[in-house]
Parts: sequence; C-alpha cells; structure tokens
Amino acid sequence: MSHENELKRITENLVPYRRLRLISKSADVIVANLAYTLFVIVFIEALSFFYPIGEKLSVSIILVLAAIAYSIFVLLRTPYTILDSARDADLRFNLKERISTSIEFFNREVSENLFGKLLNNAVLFSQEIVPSKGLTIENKKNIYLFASLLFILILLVNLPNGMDDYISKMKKVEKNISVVEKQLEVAKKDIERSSASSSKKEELTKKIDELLKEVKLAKSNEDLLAKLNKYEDMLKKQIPPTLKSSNFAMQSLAGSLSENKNLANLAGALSNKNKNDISKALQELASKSKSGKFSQNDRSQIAESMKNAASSMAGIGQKDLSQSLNKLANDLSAGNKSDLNESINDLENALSEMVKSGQNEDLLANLNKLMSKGKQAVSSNSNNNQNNASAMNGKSAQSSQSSSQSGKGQGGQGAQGGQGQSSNGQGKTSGQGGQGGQGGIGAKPNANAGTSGSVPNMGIVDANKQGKHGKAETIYSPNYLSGSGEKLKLDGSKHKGEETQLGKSGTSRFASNEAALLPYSDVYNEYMNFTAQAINNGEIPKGYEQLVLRYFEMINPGK
Amino acid sequence: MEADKFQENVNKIEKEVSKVIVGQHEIVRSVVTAIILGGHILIEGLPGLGKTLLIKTLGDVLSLKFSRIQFTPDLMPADIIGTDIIEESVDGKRNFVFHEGPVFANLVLADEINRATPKTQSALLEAMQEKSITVGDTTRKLDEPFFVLATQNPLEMEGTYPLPEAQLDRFIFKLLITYPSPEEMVKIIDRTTTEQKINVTNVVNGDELLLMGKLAREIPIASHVNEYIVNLVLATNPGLRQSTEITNNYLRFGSSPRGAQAIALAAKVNALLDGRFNVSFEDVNKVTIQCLRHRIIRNFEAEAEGVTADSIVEEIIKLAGNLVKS
Repeated sequence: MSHENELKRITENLVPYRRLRLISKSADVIVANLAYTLFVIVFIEALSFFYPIGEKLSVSIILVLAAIAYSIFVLLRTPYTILDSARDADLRFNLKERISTSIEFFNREVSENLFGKLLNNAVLFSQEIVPSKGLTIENKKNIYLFASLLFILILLVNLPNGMDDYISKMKKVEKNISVVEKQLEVAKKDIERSSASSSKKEELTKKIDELLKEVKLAKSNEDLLAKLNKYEDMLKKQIPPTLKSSNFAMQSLAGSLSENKNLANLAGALSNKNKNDISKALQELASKSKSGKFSQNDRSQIAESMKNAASSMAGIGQKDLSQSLNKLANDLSAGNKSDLNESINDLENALSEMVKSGQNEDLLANLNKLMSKGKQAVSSNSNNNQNNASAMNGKSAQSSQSSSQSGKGQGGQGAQGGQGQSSNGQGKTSGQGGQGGQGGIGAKPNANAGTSGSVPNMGIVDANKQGKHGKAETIYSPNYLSGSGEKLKLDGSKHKGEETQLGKSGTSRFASNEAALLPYSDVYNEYMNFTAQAINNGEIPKGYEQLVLRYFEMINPGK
Repeated sequence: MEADKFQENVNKIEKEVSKVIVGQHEIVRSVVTAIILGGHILIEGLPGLGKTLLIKTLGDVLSLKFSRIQFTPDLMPADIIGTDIIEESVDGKRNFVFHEGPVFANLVLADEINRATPKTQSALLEAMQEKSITVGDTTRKLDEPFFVLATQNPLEMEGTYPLPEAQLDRFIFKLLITYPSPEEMVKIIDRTTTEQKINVTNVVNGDELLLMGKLAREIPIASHVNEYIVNLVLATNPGLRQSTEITNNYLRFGSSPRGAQAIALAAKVNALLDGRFNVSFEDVNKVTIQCLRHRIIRNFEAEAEGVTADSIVEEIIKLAGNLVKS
C-alpha cells in the first residue's frame, strides 16, 4: 500500500519551513564566522597599539572575505536535507520525532499497520509546523559577539564618521608612508653617491635606516610628521650656521682671492670644492714663487690678498685657515723659499679638511631638503591639514593674504631695501631703499610663504613710495636677483609706525593667512644661504657686507 | 495485535493491580513494561513496601504460573532449578527422575536475592538469559513468558552477597521502591486491616503478553534517536569521546550494549503506551535511568562523596539532551 499522499502532505507542510531555516542557518553560519573574524581583527587592531602593524586594512579585508568564503564552503559541505529539516521541526515544534521517523522509514520495511498509523499521525502533527517560527535567531551568542566586537573595533579605531573615513585615513597614511619611504631611499642613494667622508656616510645611512623602520610603524599622518620632524631636527643640528659653515668660508675665501689674477686658479678650485685643483693651484703657486716668476710686486699683492682673506677667515671663526694663510703670505712676502713648502702644505691640508667638511655639509643640506619634501608630501595628503596643504602647493595664492609688518625705519631694514635695488635686474620701480632710514620698509616676509618655492620671499618694498596710501607697490623677490625678477603687486593701506595688512595678487608665492608652514630656522637658513651667495658674488657692496652678516648673526635662531 | 488493544491491555493490567497495590504507578508501569518485553527486574526497597505483593498480584492478573523463592545463605542451586531423584517404579525398577524446581514458572519472585551465595545466584543466570535450564546433560526449556523479579533489601547488608555485574546486566530494569505518601499509607491500612478480601481477575494471558511484546518490537526508531541512545550509553563509559566530565570523575565502568537494547525496547513500549508509533527522545529519556542505574559501577570518589548512580545518569541525560537541541 502506497503512502505517497501522506508523505506529500507532510513535505508540503515542511518545505516552507525548510526554506526559511536554510536562510536562517546560512545567516547564522556567516554571522558566526564573521564574529570570529572580527575577533581576530579586533585583536590585530588592539595589538597594533603596542606593535603597529602595516597593511592592517588589507589583512582585515582578506580575513573578512576568507570568512565569507569559508561560510559558503561550510554551507555547501553540510547540506540541509529534507530529513534534517524534519528532525529540526520535530525538535522545534515538539512533534516527538513523528515527522522525521515517517520520512526516514518511508522506503523501509516496517509493519504496514503501524507505519500507516505513524504516517497519519505525522500528517496531523505536521500541520503544527509554522515556518515563521523557524526564523528565530539560533545562535544569539554569535550575534552578541559580533555586535560587541564591532563596537570595540569602532572604539579602537576611533571612527565617529564610519568605516569610509577609517579606510580613507588608513589609505592616506599608507600612501604617505610609501612616499616617504621612496624619499628616504633616494636619500640613501644620495649618501652613497656623495663625496662625504665614509664615516659620515655610514652614520647617515644608519640613521636613515632607523627612520625607515620608524616610518613603517607610523599610525597616522601626525605620527609620521612627528617622526620626520624629529629626524629633520637631528639633521639640522648637524648643519653648522651658514657663517660658520665650511662652504661659506670657502666661497668667501674664493671671493677674496679671486680679486688677484695670480690666485684666480686657486679661487676657482675653491669655488668648485675640488681638492685636486686646489692642490694643483697651490703647487703652481709654490713653483712660480720658487722659480722667481713672480715679481716683487706680484708677491706683495698675493701676500696682501692672502692677508685680507686671512682676516676675513678669522672674522668668521676659521682660525686655522687664517693662520695658514697668514703664514703663507708672510713666506711669500719675505721670499722665504725654504719655509714655503711647509706653508703650502699646511694650507693645502687646511683647505682639504674644509672641502671634506663642506661636502658633508652639502650632504646634510641635501638630506634636509629631502626630508622637507617628504614632510610636504605628507602634509599635502593629510586630510587633517587641508589648509596647510593648500598653502604649500601654492594654488590658493589668488585668494590668500599675507600679513606684513611695516618697518620702522631701521637702518638694517633700509639696507634690505638697498639690496633690492642693487640686485634688481629688471625691476624698474625699485626705489632707493636703504638710504632713507625711516622709509626703508622691509616688509618682513610672512612665514606662510608657499613652500613650493624653495627660496623665500623677502618682500622688499620700495622705500620711497612707502607713504602712498592704498597704492599698489611693486616688490622683487630676492631669488630673482640674477635678473629674472618677478613683479609682485601689493595692495593695501599703511599707517606710519603701525602694522599694515597687505593684500597681493599675481603670484603664487604667497600662501593663505594660515599658520606658518616652515619653521623659522628653515627660512633663516635659506635666507642666509642666499645672502652668502650674494656676498660671494659681489652683489652686496663691500661696505655693507659686515653689516649684513652682523644682522644675520643677530637673528640667528641657534644663537 | 492492534495498538489500541495493546494500550487497553496495559490499562486493564494496571487497573487490576491498583486494586491491591496502592500508588507506585511508575513501578507498576515499569514492571508491566518489562513483562511485555520478556525482561527481568531487580527491585530494591525497604521491607514492607509491597514488592512481593506486587509480583503475586501480577501473577494473578496475568494468569501466569507464579513461584516464589526466598533466597537464604544456605539455599542451593538445586533448590531453585530442581534435581534428579531416584524413583521406584511399580515393577520395582529405580530410575532417576527430574523434579522441577521453582524456576519452572512464568513469574518467579527471587526474594532477597542478595542473601544467597553467588553459586546459587548464578543458578538463575542461564534461566534469565537463555530461558532454559541445564541439569547434567539435559537442557530444559522454560515456559514463555518467563519473568524473574528479584528483590533486594538495602538494609542489613551484613552477610549478603552483592549480585555480580554479569548478573545485574541481565535485569532490564532496576526499580527503586520508595516510601508511600501519607495518603497512600492511609489507603494501605484501610485495605489490609479488614476482613475484606480483594479479588483480582485475570485480564491478560501469556499469549497476549507475547503478542504485545511482538508489537512493541515493531515500533520504528529513527536513526538519530538510535544514535542518541548509543551516545547515552557510551557516555557512561569513562575515557571515550562521548564521556562526560561526571563519567570520568565518578565511574569505573559504564553500561554494556545490553543497556542500549534495554533503553530502545523500553522506549518502544513507552511510545506505544503514549499512543505513538515511533520512539521519541522523550521516551528514551524517560526509561534511561531505570535501564542504566544498575549497569554503571561507581568509583571510590563517587561513593565517598555520596554521588548516586541516578544523579550521574541524570546529568548524562541532561548533557546529551543539550547536544540534541544544539
């Protein structure tokens, strides 16, 4: 006797329940796996507070995808058959195993009498199966675990604005880390290529490696910038002030010596920081002196030049070099051939040390620049420093403002005005600043100056026109002293002795009125280097040289 | 036999027994179940709780041959199974003739079985398992149905011989008779202290009992319920994957597969009596304690800490039940 009809009726009642249970069970499995995955992510996140882990985001995404894939694998491997759902329904609706026994024994040999009754009984009880009751959350603990862990994760990553911000932030940090790493790799290559002493190269390479390690562990842009700042400070401490630097000394010396045609070769070699050429020039000098190729007048002039140079070197603290120069000057002047070799050797050694020291300085300066570039890249990418970034990339110059302080007629400021005049190649409206004392308005450059231009704007304003209310003035940036001066237009009002707000246009060199982007020491060094170059090139009148140098000595941040 | 008839017979038996026995419904149900299945029962209880009366009444109700053996230390195996004695025929020839012992009955009450020596106790082994008796080289079949109901007194244990495990395993159930309630006590006094004699009638005969047993064995058990029974039994054995903490802590030995058979059979009868034609987890849980309590051997810690066999089995059922729900 067939019982197909009874079985059909049982399965009709069972199938909707089974369908919903399948969905519910799948959700349970996925939630359970996600909960455990989240636990791992929270663990990683928590661990990263102590041992920062790079690429956390990628790891997390991989884990979540793996959890979902594993859930699907588990669901496919453990099929939920009709018999499974019958057993499930028996338990859930307290049907005392009637449905599952009926289905299981349908094709088995059992007492016809008993099985018929069992099936009828099961048909009756199968009507108690209510599919919607199967939608209860089976593993509530997993839901609670999932929710709790998610909450903890949100707390851990401090995400008031949700995961998008977190992802974006993490991506930016990772990108910045990558940029800085590239810069540091470039720096390492520069160190390798540089002519600096091997001990210095080794020391700097080691420090760069340390920085690389620290950079990789950065958790945020702020953290990254802090690490870069720390190393930048360390580098700056190693760079001597311009006036004390070997490069400055060499340029000054070259400038002094170049006035004498017999010392032109030596001056050129010094300018090029070429040890061989220096040695060659000195040997040539010695040989000419010994062979009597120099007249008495020549020797006197050479000695005079050397003494002047010695005096100049003494003024900037290069005492050893000054002594060597004086000794050689005396020997040349006295025609003392026997001591000449020793003097030449002394000077050569002193200059050789200076060249080496200068190369170290060059390397440090270069590294410093790379460090600044890295910082700029980080700042530009940083979401939290949007204003800074816009100021640095110089694109907001049209709408930006720069605050300047009006000068109070100080002589030094007047001198600055003079600088603008004397060095101007094209600027035709430059006044006779520097002479007027009170009128010399050295519009002090604002520290907000866009850093995309590596050379600062000194903002020297025509002194003669300082009283014109509301009239645009033309200023020249000192970095265009070579002749390619760019006009900057300043609009605004000025009151004597008071602060003046200047608006400007037509340039991208000024940033917005936000906080300073470059530290004072940076600005100072750049100004100082520029000034030293100007002095060496003879662009500053002799009479003002000491004045300018004294001024920079006074405003030296390291003082 | 129809399922309805099965229930009707059981109800009749219980009704007749209740005329004599006050209360103890669960015990009566278990004894009837065991009789239907052809199993044997060990009843433990204090003296005077109606153990003997219950079996005697059942004998009357079921119209079965009843015999009672009072076990004492000097009881010999031959006193139970019978012996060959010399008989002289009318022509003067002498022959050995086997005289059946009290075991040749349908219902055998082995009263205070633990007072006999192991040798005598074991005389029942073959009868209980094979339902036959061997004397010399002759094996004699016992009449069906054959049912042994042994009692033992938990008090006065001095001079007793605890039943060996092999023999214990042959009892399908071990039942514990508890003290009757005050209301039941009143009824007992009323019934037993008057001249009024209570007569019970024969409601089911031996053949019907055999048919009832056959029907019960036909009840299907779903595979997952069978697995549940197996897991329960395995969980009583220490050191197995299914073992629970309480098993490992308090048991020396667990149940044999006979325990699983007993549970399955008893659960089938229980399902039929419940009006169902399949075995449920509930049926299994209901009969497990009485099927397993005498099949597990507690260790010293359990005895020292007063952990009973019943509490251990209850814990195992609870844990296994949780596993089923999950």
